[in-house]
Amino acid sequence: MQFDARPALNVFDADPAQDAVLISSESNQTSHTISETLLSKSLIPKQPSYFFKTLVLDVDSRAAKLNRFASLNKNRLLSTASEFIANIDFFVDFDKEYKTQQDGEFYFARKALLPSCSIHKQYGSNLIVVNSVHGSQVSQVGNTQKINLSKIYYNNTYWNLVCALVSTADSIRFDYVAYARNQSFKTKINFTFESYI
Amino acid sequence: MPQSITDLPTLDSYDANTTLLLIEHEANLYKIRSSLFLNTLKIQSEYINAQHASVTIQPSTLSFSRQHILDINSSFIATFDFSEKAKLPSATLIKNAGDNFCKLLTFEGIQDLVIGETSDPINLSVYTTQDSRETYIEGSITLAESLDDLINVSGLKLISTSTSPSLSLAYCCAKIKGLAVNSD
Repeated sequence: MQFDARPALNVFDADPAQDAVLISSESNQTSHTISETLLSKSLIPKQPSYFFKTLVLDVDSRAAKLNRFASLNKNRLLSTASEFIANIDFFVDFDKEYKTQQDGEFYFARKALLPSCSIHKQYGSNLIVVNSVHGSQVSQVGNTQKINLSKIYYNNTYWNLVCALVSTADSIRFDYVAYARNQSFKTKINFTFESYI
Repeated sequence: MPQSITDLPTLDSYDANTTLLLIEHEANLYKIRSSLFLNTLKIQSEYINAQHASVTIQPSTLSFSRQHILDINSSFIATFDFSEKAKLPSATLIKNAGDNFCKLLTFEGIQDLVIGETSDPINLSVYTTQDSRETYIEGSITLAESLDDLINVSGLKLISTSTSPSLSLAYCCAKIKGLAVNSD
């Protein structure tokens, strides 16, 4: 079978659901499959999957000895051949009258957004990169690491929002989400994942 | 070059950038570079778009339209970012391949939206001041399958729950990214 003897196909004329595809591999085997089967395999760009998670901090987790966490379990979510990006948004509801005008932009708003955070892992890598207002942090898949998610300015001081990032090849978990030094702000946290597994 | 054709033992050793595909198309056999074939067909189904709208007490509309974007094997993520002087809570709409419904994430939480229906007005964002002036940004979301599938936010407007609103004008930047896969 001579490839050079074949006419070239205009790719826009192909019908993935009907056309059979013949493959010549390095091992000199010529094989066939339906185009759509090939398109769904892992070595080509994949169909994205989307996931939401929400978490509410309504009391001081550490003072109450609670573990406020969000987790996502999905087969091969963090495998080397997968990639994902997660955007995390933080909504604070100031339900206490403890603020002063020195607290800046939060003085007028009762519900406010904190600086958001993004987390991603690239295809072929086992490193999870966290980008937040604190800068860039890197964690390895399979490890547990304290990370800074965001921060809030209150009473002339910044209070960090932190958690422990726990990961396996099939799951990612944000453990012990809390403000530093036992501070408490009612906060809703929305996680949006876009993954290519 | 081998003469026999057998099932491919595994796709793990297959490199789209270095192999050729032979395609049997309309009774003829053609050759094509694997990566060109795969990437071009992928690009054909990609859909990226953006919309912008001012939001006042008068209703406005945002919409995205694309063939097959609501088909069972299609997926997309649409984000609705609201702002005035400050950034307000966003709303995010997703559909996964294999799902016949969408999920909406707002500051109030997560809810399912049925394809083929128009939702009741939904609070998509909010701005509340310390003196209890509160204004919501609401809209109804329609997911309609047609010749061109439609993702439409109608009745997008400001609703104040206090005598004096906390907002008189806001803006919405909407973005969508997805794969529109023909499931017919």
